[in-house]
Amino acid sequence: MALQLEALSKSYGTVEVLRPIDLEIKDGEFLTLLGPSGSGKTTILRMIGGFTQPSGGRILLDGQDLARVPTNKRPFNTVFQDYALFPHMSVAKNVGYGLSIRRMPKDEIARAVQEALDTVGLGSFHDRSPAELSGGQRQRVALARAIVCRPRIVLLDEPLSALDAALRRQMQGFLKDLQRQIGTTFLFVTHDQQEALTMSDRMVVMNVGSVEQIGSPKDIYYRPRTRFVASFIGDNNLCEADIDADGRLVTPMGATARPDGVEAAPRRVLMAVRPELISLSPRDNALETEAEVLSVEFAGAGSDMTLRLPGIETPFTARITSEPGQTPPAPGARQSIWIRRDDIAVVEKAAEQAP
Amino acid sequence: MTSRTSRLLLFALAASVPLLLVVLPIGNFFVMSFWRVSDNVIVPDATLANYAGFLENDAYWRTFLFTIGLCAAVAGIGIAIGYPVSYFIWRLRGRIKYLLLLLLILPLFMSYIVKIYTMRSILGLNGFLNKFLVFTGILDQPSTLFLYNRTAILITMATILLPFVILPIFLTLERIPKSLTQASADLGAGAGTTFWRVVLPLSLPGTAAGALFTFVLALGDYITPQMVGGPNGFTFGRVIWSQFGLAYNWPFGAALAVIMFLFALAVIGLAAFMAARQR
Ligand SMILES: Nc1ncnc2c1ncn2[C@@H]1O[C@H](COP(=O)(O)OP(=O)(O)OP(=O)(O)O)[C@@H](O)[C@H]1O
Ligand SMILES: [Mg+2]
Repeated sequence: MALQLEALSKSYGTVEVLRPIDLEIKDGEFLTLLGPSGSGKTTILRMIGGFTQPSGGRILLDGQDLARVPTNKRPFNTVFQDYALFPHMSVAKNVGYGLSIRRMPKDEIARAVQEALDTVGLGSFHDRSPAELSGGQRQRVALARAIVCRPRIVLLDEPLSALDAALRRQMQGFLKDLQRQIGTTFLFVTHDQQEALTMSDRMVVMNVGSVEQIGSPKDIYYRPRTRFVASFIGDNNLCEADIDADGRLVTPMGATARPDGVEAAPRRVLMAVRPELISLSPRDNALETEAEVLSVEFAGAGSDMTLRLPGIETPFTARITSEPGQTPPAPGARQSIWIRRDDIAVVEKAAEQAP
Repeated sequence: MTSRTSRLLLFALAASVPLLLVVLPIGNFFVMSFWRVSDNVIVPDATLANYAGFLENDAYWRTFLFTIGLCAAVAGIGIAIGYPVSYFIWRLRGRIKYLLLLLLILPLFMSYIVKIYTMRSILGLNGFLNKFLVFTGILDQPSTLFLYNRTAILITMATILLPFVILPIFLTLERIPKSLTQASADLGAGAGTTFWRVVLPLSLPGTAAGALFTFVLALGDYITPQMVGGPNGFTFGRVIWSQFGLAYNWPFGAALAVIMFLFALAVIGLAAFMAARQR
């Protein structure tokens, strides 16, 4: 059952910053809210934490409405974006704060704090003051402080955004491992799609106050359902296509069999193809076409080839593996390409125009 | 003119203001405190007689200690009233918050004398305070207890100096990130616990600064005791002042002033030392 959001919404004055959303957060999952700045991610997190009052809808924990439960009585703990460590307390006092409020005996607090600090790899940092820690260490203290009370859900608002790229990668792996190890539900906010894709069990993609799509990272990446998701997450080639009366996808490159989960009614849709799924060699069950090479850009691990496809106005990008000895086709050359039918994502135009 | 000399000139100009207005007068007092008066004429000298005079006469001593106690009490009352007020304003939301703050520190821009007269009219026999107390039945008849005595000095100083307490306390409260009180609630603390364990400790520096301001300002104030203190509200400031007036013993007054100045400096130094050690 776990946590359920029912038509949860938020307005400031007449501005609706969060349209009613429904969401179920399962026990033990790593759920990410992903969206550009101002899409309402923090707003959701703060309403769950009890820092902001919802304008409408309900938050249910195991079926119980939390409306009348104040922040300090909710079994959630937050890792704040600025870490919010108490500057006048040592690391150990910070981590033990929640336990001391629960009036746990001193020696038990000491043991729990030690265990939590060991978990985050800061076992010998008890007596340091927060000012004497690096950014990454502060972040881990904040994490230890949040998990030591064994909350039902840990709420994390862009906890990694202040770290440099290398540390960020390292912390991503660490967070994910930790979550798996302690089995606690993590609700994680980020505007970094790479972070969301690598860490999440499921992710919620948001845009200007509404949910665009909910699904596993693979779903979101390979089966975007709205134009926003298709273009916001990773690179995508988008063009118009048609569904015919039999539900087949009719593209400028030819028709495919009826894609999974697509309704059989004639209409215009968008098709999306990932650059790395465009192949220069024959593939089974694929659409084939001859394209004109516009340019080729070497980018280290691969090369980005810009192609003009017959019947498609905007050029497509293909990401091809490059090998040291290989000479890529020169601009102006003709090049045959193959796109597997299963690799084409169908994006409904109606979904794109959702109010 | 090279940029170096022009920079030096600018520095000298900037430094000359505090030098002229602060250091010179104090230095002047310091020098004068070793002079003496003979036959109503001030004579330059190098005598310690003025300091000996202070140490030997326990009337001066007692006034000195009484004044310190009084000013400490003023600071104490200031904190006792100023802290809750600052906290209350800090917790307010929106425009009213800064409006109220402005209202409370507005008296800073008013003439000191006007404020004292106002307090006198409030505390007097026909004053607002007596009228209020009689009206509510707390007193049977107006009391003379509130004016021309030590209590009057205490009440008046504490009231007039209140903005000096409220402002620094409010500013340290404002500097506490919202996320800290939220983190405290998040970890299970109620409003009271959050106050005692997070807000209060983090606002101590401003509270100490407010107390210090009030204490030192009260120490230097001789007008308030003069105007509301009556005959038994004799403070050290008044003693010093009288040496420059009636008694006409400037060197002795200068010595007393130096003693008070050094004492205030010691208190400020001690506070600075403790603040540095805490960090
Ligand atoms: N107290 C407030 N009063 C008015 N509007 C607010 C308030 N708090 C947030 N908003 C608005 O609500 C919208 C959503 O804000 P929110 O903080 O949830 O965005 P976010 O997705 O977390 O963005 P970011 O990635 O920048 O943190 C924004 O347009 C913001 O301006
Ligand atoms: Mg945010």
